[in-house]
Formats: sequence, C-alpha cells, structure tokens
Amino acid sequence: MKNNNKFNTNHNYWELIKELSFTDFKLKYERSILGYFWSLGKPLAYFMVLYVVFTSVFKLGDSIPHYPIYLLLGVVTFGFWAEATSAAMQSITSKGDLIRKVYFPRIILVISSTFTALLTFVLNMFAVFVFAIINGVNFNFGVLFILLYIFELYLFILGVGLALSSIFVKFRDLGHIWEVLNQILFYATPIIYPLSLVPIKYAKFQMLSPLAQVISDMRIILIGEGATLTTNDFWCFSWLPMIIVLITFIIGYIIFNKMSNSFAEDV
Amino acid sequence: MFFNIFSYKQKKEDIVKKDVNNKNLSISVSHVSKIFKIPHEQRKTLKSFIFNLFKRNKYTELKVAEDISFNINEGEFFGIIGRNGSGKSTMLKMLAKIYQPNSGKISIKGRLSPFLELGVGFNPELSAHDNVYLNGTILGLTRKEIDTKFNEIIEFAELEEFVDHKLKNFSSGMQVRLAFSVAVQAHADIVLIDEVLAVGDYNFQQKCFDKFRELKQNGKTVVFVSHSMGNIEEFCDRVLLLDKGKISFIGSPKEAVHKYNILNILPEKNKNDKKSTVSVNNLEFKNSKNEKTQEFLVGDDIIASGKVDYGESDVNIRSRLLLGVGLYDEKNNLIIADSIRMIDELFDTKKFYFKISIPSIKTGIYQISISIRDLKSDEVYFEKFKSHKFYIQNITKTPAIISSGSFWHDNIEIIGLTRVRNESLIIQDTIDHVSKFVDKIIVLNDASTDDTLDKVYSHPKVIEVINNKIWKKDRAVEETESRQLLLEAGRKYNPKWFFYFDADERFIGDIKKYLLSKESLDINGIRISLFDAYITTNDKSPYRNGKLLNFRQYFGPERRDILMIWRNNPSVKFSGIDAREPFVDGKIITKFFSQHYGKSISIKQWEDTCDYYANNFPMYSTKWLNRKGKAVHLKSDFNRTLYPWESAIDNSIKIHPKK
Repeated sequence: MKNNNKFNTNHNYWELIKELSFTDFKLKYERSILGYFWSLGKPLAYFMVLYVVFTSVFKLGDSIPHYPIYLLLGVVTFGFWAEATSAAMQSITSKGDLIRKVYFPRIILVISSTFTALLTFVLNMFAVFVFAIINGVNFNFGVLFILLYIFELYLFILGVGLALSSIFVKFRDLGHIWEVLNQILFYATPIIYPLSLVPIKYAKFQMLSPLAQVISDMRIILIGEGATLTTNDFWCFSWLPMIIVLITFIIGYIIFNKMSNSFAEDV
Repeated sequence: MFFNIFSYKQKKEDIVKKDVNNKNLSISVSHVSKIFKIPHEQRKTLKSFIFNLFKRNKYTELKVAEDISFNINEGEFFGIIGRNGSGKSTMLKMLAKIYQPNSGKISIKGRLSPFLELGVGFNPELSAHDNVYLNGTILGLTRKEIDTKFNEIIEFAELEEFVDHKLKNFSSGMQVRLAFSVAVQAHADIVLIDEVLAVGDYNFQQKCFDKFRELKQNGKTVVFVSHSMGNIEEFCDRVLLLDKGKISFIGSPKEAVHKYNILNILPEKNKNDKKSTVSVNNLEFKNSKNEKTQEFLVGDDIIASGKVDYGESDVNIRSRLLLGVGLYDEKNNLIIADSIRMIDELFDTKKFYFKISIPSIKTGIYQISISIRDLKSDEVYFEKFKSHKFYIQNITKTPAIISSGSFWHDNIEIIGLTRVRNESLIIQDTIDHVSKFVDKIIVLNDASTDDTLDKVYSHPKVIEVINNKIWKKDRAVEETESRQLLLEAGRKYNPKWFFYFDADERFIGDIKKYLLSKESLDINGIRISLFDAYITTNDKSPYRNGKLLNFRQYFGPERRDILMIWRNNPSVKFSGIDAREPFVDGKIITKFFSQHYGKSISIKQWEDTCDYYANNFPMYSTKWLNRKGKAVHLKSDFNRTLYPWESAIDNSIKIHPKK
C-alpha cells in the first residue's frame, strides 16, 4: 500500500479536480451531436449579432483595426468570465450529495467547476486565433503572454467564485442578482466599444476592473498597439488591477474557508 | 497559487497527527460537542430576508453530541449504536471531517477512508466505466491505480457485460455491487462504514461480510455504525452506545447491545402506550420526624411516599415492577439509590413508603428521581427525573464523602435467600424476623398451593420471587437446583453477604452488626448452630399468627452447625444432592444460634411433615413413616433428654458437620 503514512484522506486532489471537471465537460455536451462546438457556436452567434449591429448601425468598427477580432476576443473572454463565475457559484450547492458524504477540501469543487469553463475558453481561444489569421492579423511569439493574462483572469474568477459559492449556500437570491450584475458589467466593460469614446473621468475607473484590463491587454498582444487604451494610459501603475485580483482572491478564500466548515450542514 | 493552499492544509493536519502520541491509538475524540442550529424559518429568499430583517432569527439548538470522549485503538473493530437521532451518524461524519465539531478535538492517525456511503458521486448519465473512474477518484484512487484494478472491480461486481451501459439502466442491486467493488479498492488504515449493508441480496451481503472479516484480519481499524445488533455483536471488539448525543455506554458488544435494547423499549412519548399509564402520584417527602420538608440533615432519613397508579397495565407485569428512588448531586452524580418491589395485584393503586438514609455528603442542593421498571426486563414504565429538589446540610464533623455510586441497589449489603412451599402460617413472621438483619430477600416459591405467594409478594423487603409452578417428586436434586437459582438471582444485586434461611428457623444474635463490622472482614462463611424445638406434653398448643421465636419450651441438645451465611464470591456454589450448604472457600467460623421449628409448629404439621418427607425423599421414607403419630416428644428424635433453650446450648452435642 502506498502513501501509508499520509494523514490526509485523498492525497491526490489534482486527480480529483481533473476527473470532476472532465466529467462536467463530458456531461455538458452529452447527447448533443455537435458537442463542444456549441460552446463555440454560442459566443460566435452572439458575436455575429453584435458585429452586424455595431458595424452597420453604429459604425463603431471603423476606428478600430481588426474590429471583428477585437470584438470576438472580448465576447469570448467575457463569456468565460460569466460562465465560470456562475458555475463556481453553484458548485457547492449542486454537489450537495458529495459534500454530505465524502470529505475532501471543498475548494476542489470550485476549482473543478471553473476548470470546465477554462477548458471551453482555451478551446475557444484557438478558434479566435484561427479567425485572427483569416482576418490577416500579424502576430509573433509574444502572443504567448496571453497565457499570463488568462492566469490572472482565472485567479480573479476563482476569488470571486469562492466568495459567491459560499454566500450562495445561505442566500439563493444571489443567483439572480449575479445575472443582472453581469449584464451591467458587460456594457461597463469596453467590449463592444473602444474606451476612447468614454469620457476620461469614467474610463479611468473602468480600467480599474481586472476584467477590462485583461481584455485590453490581450487585445494589444493579439492585434497590436492602437487597438485600445490600457490601464497604463490612465494610471501610473499598470499593475493596480492585478493587486485588486490578489486582494479579491484572498478575501474570497477567507470567506470560503470560514464558511466551508458548515457546508455539509447547510446545503 | 492554490497548490500552496493544499500544502498549508497538509501542514495543519501534520500538527494534528503529532497530537496523537500513543502509538496504538487510531482515533482520539476528546470532549467533542456538536450543536445544530435549526432555524424556525429558513431565510433563503430576498423577500423573506427583507421582511424578517428586523426580526430576530429564531432557531432551535439541537445538541447532537455533548462532551463526547473516546479512543479507538489501531486494528480495532469499533461499533457505534444508538436509537434514531442519538447522534451516531453525526459522530461518524465528524470522524470523516464532513462535519466540524463546535468544540473539542478529534485526532486521527492513519489514512482515513473518506466516504460513509457507497457510490458517492455516481452519475446515472455516465457509463459504468466512467462511474468507476469518477467514484474511484473521489475515494482517493489515482487514474493509474484504477487502470490496473479496473477488470478486478468489474469482475467482483459481476458486471462484465455492462461496462459501457449507462448507470441509470442498472438495477439498484447492480449499482450497489459496482459501488462496493470500487469501495473495497480504496486503501485506508481506518474504514468508516455507515449501514452499507442495508441493500443488496443475500449473496452480496455475504460477500460484504467476507470483506469485513478480511478487514478485521488485516488489522484495519473499522468504525461501524449499524442498527443490526447481530452484525454489531459478530464483528465489533468494542461498542459505543449513544443516547441523545451523550455516551450511554462504551464497552463489550454484548453489554452494549443489551443496553441498546433496553433504551429501545423505553416508552416514547406515546399516550396510547399501555405501559405509560403506570404513574406515581401524591409524592411527598418527609423527614424522620414526619415533617413535610425540603431541608434535611446528613444522617436523617428522607421518607418518600406516594401512590402508584397501575393504570391499564398488564396485571402480570404489575407483580414484577420495581420502584426505584435515586438521590443525585448537582453534577448529576448518583449518590445513593435503592429500590423496592411494587407488589400488589389486588388493588389498582398502592401507597408506598420509601426511606433513604442520607449518607455523609457535602452540604448542597440534591435532587431525587423516581422510576418504576420491570425487574425482569428492565423496561421503564415511569420516570420522573430529578423532579424534587432538596437542600441537604452536613453539620457532622466527619468529612463528607461523595459516593460515586452509579448503580441501583447500591446499599444492599446482605441478601436473604429462601425457598418456600405452603408456609402461609409462618411466612409473614419469618420475613419480618429475617428483615431485621438482611436488606433484601429473594424467595423461590416451590409450587405453593396456599396463599404463601401473596404474603411473600406483599412484603416490601422481597425484591424478587422465582416462581416454580410445577411440583416434581424426588426433591433431592430439585432442592440443590433451587438454591443455586436463588444464589444466581441474588448475585445480580451484588451484595456483600448471602444469608440462606428456611421459613421455620429463628435466629439469635446480632448478625447484621457482625457482618458489617471489621471483625468479619476475613471471614468467608458462617455456620449457625441449629437446635430442634419439640412439642412436649405440657406444651402442645398449635402455633397461631404471632412470634415464632422462643415459641416452644424444650429443645433437643443435638446441634447442627449449618453454613447459612457466606460472602458473595463467584466461587460459591451449590452442587450435589440435597445440598443445603454451598461450597465455600476460605475461613469459616461457627457463630450465632438458630431455633428450628420444623417439627413443632403443631401436631398436624408434624404429621404433614412426616408425609412430606416420606413421599418426596424416597431415601428417608421409612424413617419418617415410623415417626408418624409421635408428635409429642419426651425425648429428642435421637433419644436424648430435652432442655430449655439456654441449657440446650450448654449441653449441646454436635451432630453436623460430622468430622
């Protein structure tokens, strides 16, 4: 017998995270013929609608090079945020059965549920690259820095998700509230429009959002300078949103840790 | 980042691990309490939240575990039993770390199986194959491990043909088989099992049992929660019995199961229950001066009185009821307890008196509990727990002792044993007489046809009656067996001394004082010198109700030193044919005197006695037939001169035991 001396019950938590998120992923597209392609199809369709509306009606795209890619990247990234946070929020309550009967660090449920969204997002990013190439975007190996921003965003999602999931156990209205907040956030984040259209005193605060910062920075890496304004343009410290990410994560983790003791009784 | 979190947790657990210093200890639970707060109205929606914002959230606190401490050793098969809601599953969940205790600490050494139920995480939409991997990972197996064991798992579950079928198409039996097969692969030093065997057919259950035996043989520590007392007794080394969140008992499975059964027949609050109709009314407490009071002095007596209402209880049960009174201190320690038989088949209500002599205890508040239970089955019919408070003052100079007495019958020191048959005339006097030096009496009624039994039953000193209803001839062996039965019945009250007497014997000497004094500390048995009383020419009026002691004037000089008193040792035993005396090891002395009226109650009784022996003891039959018609004696049966009592002792000739 291996690992005899280990105290913990389930030493290989990484395996558990993998198994849970792959199962989620598998179940999500179970019985659908196109399977995963729906998870690309959905943001793609949304992108099409937005694209048509904002280029032909509002003529927004004219001032931005590669506007379709600009928009697609934003939509896909925000889609990841929305899907991951709502999955994280429900991760504890939806696995009540597991929580009442098995012990493992509860954080695993939040991680694995967001991992499923991350998996979808990574696949979607490949599609974005394909579209970028078709659209004639020139990029070099520097594009790999996008991975760093994805990690930053994931950490932010995890922080928010940890807080959401534990509060949701006791307060189910959070589900609806979060949906409304996300709709507002979609328009408050420069996804469709360039930040240059927003008065500076508002744009300044918009760029404090890690979500806006990540999307802007990814656009610059993928499409190049001139694609959008970045945090640097408003604040002397470009890493200000990153500090927010870190603080969010720590607070989320503390809330979760405090409340996770009673999950088994409350779900 | 989050991987660091894990290693942080790991360290925290390592610290816990170090706390369990004892090498052989697997699980150590110390002073663990758990409270569930059950809100009266769950505030889970915004609307109810806003409406109730300014109201205080009311909730009921449910103590599911209260100051529980126990240890489980390595390799032990440890059972947890209790009625529904006793907190046993909560305890198991706390061991599994699913619930966190509100206070106290649980330390665990070794790898714990984290699951309490089979098939955790099973998803009906996935195939058997995928579920094995999912469930296996949840139980702590790695993908690689599952890869190597997969065929074995499927084979054990007997599901080779269904690997790719979805779980939702499986019967519940198939699902359980699959779940169990995965579960047994999980490697752990400590296995927690919560009633897994409730499902599955006979064959599969046998498989589970085999696996249990294997776990036991491999020296795994197993914690097993079950309602099946058979399984508990078969597998467990030690059992914890929980009752309402508290430890009721911890120890041998047999005893635990017995106690569980008693708990289980305690009356639930069900008014229709016939036994709950037994009650105690008009309870009063007085001191020895007959004053109603709540204040007592050490050394005084608390005299409780009341009426027992049998309600609609079964008449047969009434004769077995035992009324118990217990005195508790503020910390719920039982200080002193005693019980009496509540025997009255003739009336529906019965007044009782009960005396508790207050021992030397500290000044303080004490409480009394009263209960009525079946002395045979221990079933509780009535219980008033700590219903009366008393202030007891200790003004004596002797230091206060808190007796840690924890058992009923604590102050029974001498138990009298007797076998009776048709003793209606003298039995009342006999028991009254013997009651002066024994605490309680156990009677074996040997198929009496008169009202002996009623008289025995109604006597408050009698705590148990063994009723033999069938009369067999050839009494020699029967007599020995009866005495052994009495002895065994008496042992459960755990007295210091046994005193065996016959109804026609009267005793002279301060027996009780001697038995409870230091003088008798090294004595294991006492022979009492017994002299026969005789009907003589001037002294032949028959005995009428009254006092039998010194009833006749003349006694034979023949002295039998009969072993009537012995210390309660497990080695004491009656055996052989017509063994009046038991075998007793150790120091035996001869002390005290006894007048034996067997042949001298009346002339008629003499004749009856002759017939009785002639008919029932074939080996003595001629001897007794010759004695018929010779009730009035001029000389003793052994043809010696008769003496008045004192001179009989002076001129005694020992004829038993023969040396």
